[in-house]
Amino acid sequence: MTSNARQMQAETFAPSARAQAQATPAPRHRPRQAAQTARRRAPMDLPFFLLVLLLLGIGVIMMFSASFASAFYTGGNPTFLFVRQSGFAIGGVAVMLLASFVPSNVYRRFALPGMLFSIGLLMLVLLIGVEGGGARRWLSLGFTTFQPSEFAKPAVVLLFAHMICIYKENMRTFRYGVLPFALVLLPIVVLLMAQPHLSASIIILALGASMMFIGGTRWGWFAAGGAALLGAGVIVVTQFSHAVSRIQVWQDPYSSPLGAGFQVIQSLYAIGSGGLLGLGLGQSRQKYLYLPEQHNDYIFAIVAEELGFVGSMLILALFAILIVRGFWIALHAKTKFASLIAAGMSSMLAIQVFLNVGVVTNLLPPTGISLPFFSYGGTALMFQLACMGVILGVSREIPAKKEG
Amino acid sequence: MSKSRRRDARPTKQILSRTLVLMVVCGVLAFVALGAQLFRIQILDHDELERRAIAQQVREITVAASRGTIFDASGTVLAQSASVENVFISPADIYYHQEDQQLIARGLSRILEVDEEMVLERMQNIASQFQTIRNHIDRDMADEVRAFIVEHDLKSVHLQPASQRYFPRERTAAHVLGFVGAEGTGMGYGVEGSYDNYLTGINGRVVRLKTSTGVDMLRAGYEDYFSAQPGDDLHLTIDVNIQQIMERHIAQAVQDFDLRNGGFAVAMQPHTGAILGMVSLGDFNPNSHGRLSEERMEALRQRFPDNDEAFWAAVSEELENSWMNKVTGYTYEPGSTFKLVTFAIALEEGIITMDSERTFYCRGYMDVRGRTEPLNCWRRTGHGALNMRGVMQQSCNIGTVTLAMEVGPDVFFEYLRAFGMMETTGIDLNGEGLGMVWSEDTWNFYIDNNNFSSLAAASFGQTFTMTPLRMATATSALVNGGYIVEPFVVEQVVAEDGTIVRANETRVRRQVISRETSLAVLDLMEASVGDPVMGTGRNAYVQGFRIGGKTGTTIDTVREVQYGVTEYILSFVGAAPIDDPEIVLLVSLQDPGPNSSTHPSGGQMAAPVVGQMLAEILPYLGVEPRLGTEVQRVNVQVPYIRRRTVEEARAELEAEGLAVRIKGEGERVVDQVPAGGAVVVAGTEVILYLDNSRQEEMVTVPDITGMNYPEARAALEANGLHVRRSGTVAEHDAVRVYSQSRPAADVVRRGTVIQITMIDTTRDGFF
Repeated sequence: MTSNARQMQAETFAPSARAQAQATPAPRHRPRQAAQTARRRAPMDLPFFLLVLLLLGIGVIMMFSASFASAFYTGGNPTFLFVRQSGFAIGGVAVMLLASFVPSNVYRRFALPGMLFSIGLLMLVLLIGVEGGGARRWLSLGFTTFQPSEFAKPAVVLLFAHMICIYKENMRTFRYGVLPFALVLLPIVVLLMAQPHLSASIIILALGASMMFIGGTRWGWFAAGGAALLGAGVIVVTQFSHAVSRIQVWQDPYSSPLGAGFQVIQSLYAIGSGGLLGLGLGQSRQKYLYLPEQHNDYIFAIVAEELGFVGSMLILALFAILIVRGFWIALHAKTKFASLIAAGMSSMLAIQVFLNVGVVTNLLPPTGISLPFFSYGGTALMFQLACMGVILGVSREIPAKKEG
Repeated sequence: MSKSRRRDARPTKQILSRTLVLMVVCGVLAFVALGAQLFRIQILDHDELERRAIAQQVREITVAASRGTIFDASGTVLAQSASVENVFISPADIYYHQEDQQLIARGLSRILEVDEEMVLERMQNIASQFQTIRNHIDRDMADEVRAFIVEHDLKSVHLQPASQRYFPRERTAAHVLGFVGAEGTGMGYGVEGSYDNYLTGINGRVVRLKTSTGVDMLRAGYEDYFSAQPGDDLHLTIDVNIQQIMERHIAQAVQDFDLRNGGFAVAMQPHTGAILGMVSLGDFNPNSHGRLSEERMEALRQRFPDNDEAFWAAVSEELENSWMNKVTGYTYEPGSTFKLVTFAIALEEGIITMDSERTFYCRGYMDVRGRTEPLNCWRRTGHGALNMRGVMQQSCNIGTVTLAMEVGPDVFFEYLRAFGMMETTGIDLNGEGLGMVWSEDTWNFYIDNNNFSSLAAASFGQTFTMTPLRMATATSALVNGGYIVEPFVVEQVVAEDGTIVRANETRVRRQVISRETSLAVLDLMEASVGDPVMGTGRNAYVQGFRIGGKTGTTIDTVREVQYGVTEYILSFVGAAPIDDPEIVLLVSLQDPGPNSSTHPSGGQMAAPVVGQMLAEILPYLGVEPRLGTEVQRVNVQVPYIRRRTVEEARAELEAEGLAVRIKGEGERVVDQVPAGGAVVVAGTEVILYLDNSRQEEMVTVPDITGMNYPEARAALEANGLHVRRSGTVAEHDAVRVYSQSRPAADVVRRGTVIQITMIDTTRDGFF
């Protein structure tokens, strides 16, 4: 019986046949203990890789469609942004593939230095950052600029995964399960708010919370943290007028159709115009200088306008499957650390997609968050793809197992 | 090894289960929430959001519907719309695109024939995107502008399609037609106003996608065209030939009698109510209704040399006055023309019959209960004994008042109501006036207090007012068998595809007198015109036709009360032919000036004008001349007969009622005097030259003023001059030359045609 089963499996999972052959029967969904023998890299998770490529392809094409009109009317070369973004996409895919070959435990060594470097960058940006839109968020590399906050996100994932691995059972205590994490998040958020960069702060906080949640911090702390944030939010909203207007615009964008509500309204017009099947690829009308940031933070509105409910749901479904697959890789990861970083990177993707689409559809109050793979921005795209590469790296280490 | 194993520790159960929870939250719940929100926006709110989006994304370009054409009864175009274009500039764009102001101003000023300074001035308002440079330019000019725009790649000069209304006959029937405003819609006046909703049509529009900055989108993925529906055409009852005959003669009267306040005339088909012609002077040109003539502007400027406000107020007052259609909007005392109604009432009520032997004795005055002074007849010396016909012919006030008294105030008032004095006529034009008539209570109050002065005055058309059109419809009722019909100027409204949208048919309001009475009134009317000795209306007589009518002379009471000036209104209302009237024609002349030597009276001024009009209108209407008489045309046009043989020439000239004299030797006519095309009185001798023996010769114009017609003609012809006759066509000894077209002692070429105006000079006038 066993030998029969073994034989069957050998035929079905040819690539990991050797590992399987030496394995003894083990419970399902458990990483194989013999993984350390597989020093040769297993193949990466193909579904995840293909989903990334698919979303990236759609994203670049939609970015082209969304940016075409504004590039044309602002007198530039209509294909300039497209060509540039395509270049970054290709480079990003290369980075992703490279990252997929890095063993996950290598990152552990970079967890603390990475965070220190990241905080260093965040301090640097306050000093020599490039200013735009009233905020100092970018560092110039000469040929391009990038946001250090992009670097801070994976740094948080790595460091927290590392800390969770160290604290283990102590995660249930306040001293280990909450305090150190809070002490890491605090300087990052303070530095981000100094830029100011609210949306990155939110992402970092959500990301940190997700990691702590997986790590085993008690539920009660999340309730307490949530309550504290809510309380702080209420104070801010009632004390600071710009926050009041933000909430007001969220509740009723038509209250200031030419002011703060303008972008939301234009976004809703675009999405609503799409209807069930959309106006067709390239047929968006709102991109003709009506919708600001149409190839950036609000690109999803153009996607929804051109591809309709069916198309935009399909893209969201692709994102959802990708995220679920990312978590699936985390669940099957060989080590605790690998599992944590895969889950962290997946959460990061999910948080960004949810916040972006939530803002564009006015489910959430307006704030500037880009949509992974879609929004224009070379370095951000490369960071995202690198993070996907980390997940792929984790997937390579998944020991083959008997079934599904 | 142990360290390494610790580092490579497998995920704990808790981590895995919590990862699973996070996976559900991040990978499922979050997307369910987003999906729900998308569903709400894209499916549930789709229509509303799309509507709002399109509202901001499209630009609507209005395609003006072409306004309907207005035709007269014979199909002549009286008003027509043409496609034109307006040119405007956007100073904001000039500023934004840094375009050359001087270049644009110079170019537009050259092409559009406008002042360069004006263009430059309008460019200074850089906040504006719309500054009109010139409206209503034709296609050629617009093409030049387009070429100019292309040549210099201008983004600030624009053309806009528009529609321009043309009135090809200029002032003809201006008051019937009205005019259109800057927007191309009727402004209330004339049929352009009253039929505006038919004429306008429905504007079309082009819906085009634009970017938020207003430029057309790259790809026109969404473009819609709603074609314009052209307006309906109007076919008037007005006949432009009749209209122009009326206008010409009334204009002549303005000259002859120095009329300082113009006049008005209306011709109506008495059976149907169709208006054949309608004239109101002073008039305006609907093509330029907003501008006074240069000379009027100059005159007003001199009146108000330093007062701009008063000057412009005067200009606009004069303009508005010129737009008023006196026939429908002005009210006046009809005067003696109204006596016809009083006679009709008396006949209808059986107070008197046509065969009655009864005589009325006019001493020149009579006592009326309620009056402190005796009531005078216009002839202070009295008419003596008159029968019914005599009262009419002589327009005797005393006889008329006597009849009205016998009718009685109650019955008379009911007839005033029945003849429509308290209501509008119902004509299809806006702004119809309603005269001032006693209310029943006021009328009864006078009567109850034994005061019959109102009744007495009313019987000869005084102390109450009505519109000229009301008088014409009342007269129509008198001659059409007794029916009050509603007058109308539009026969049909016809859509572009030929369907008749609306047809105005005769609407009879009521019958006020019997057919017999109507015939009797016609008889009386003819007696006034047809009797060459007794009739006060004899100056309206036209040989060959049975014409009836009644004179009237009143003072403009409104002007008298307002300005304390005495301005006469001389009226004549005629009907022809008497056996079955085809036309009722009312002419009133206002305020003859000092340069008119004739005594101002309806019989001497208005009656001849009616006669002249009818002499031309009746043949045009196809009215057969009376059996046994040949219509004597007063004036004829000399035919062109060069190069014809003598026989041919003679036959042709004699057919036209011209005499012939041959000069020289030859076979064919080489030259003729008067020249072909000249208009001269019938019977004029045309000299035909068969060789080149004709010699230019100068002659002196004799003084013929005051002569009767045969004398005047003989005097002119003796000097080798030809005659064209105007003025009254009546023939009696009091008809004298009033004016001649070339003054006495002028030296003119032999064979020149001198126009002489004949006028009845009877001293005491015909009221």
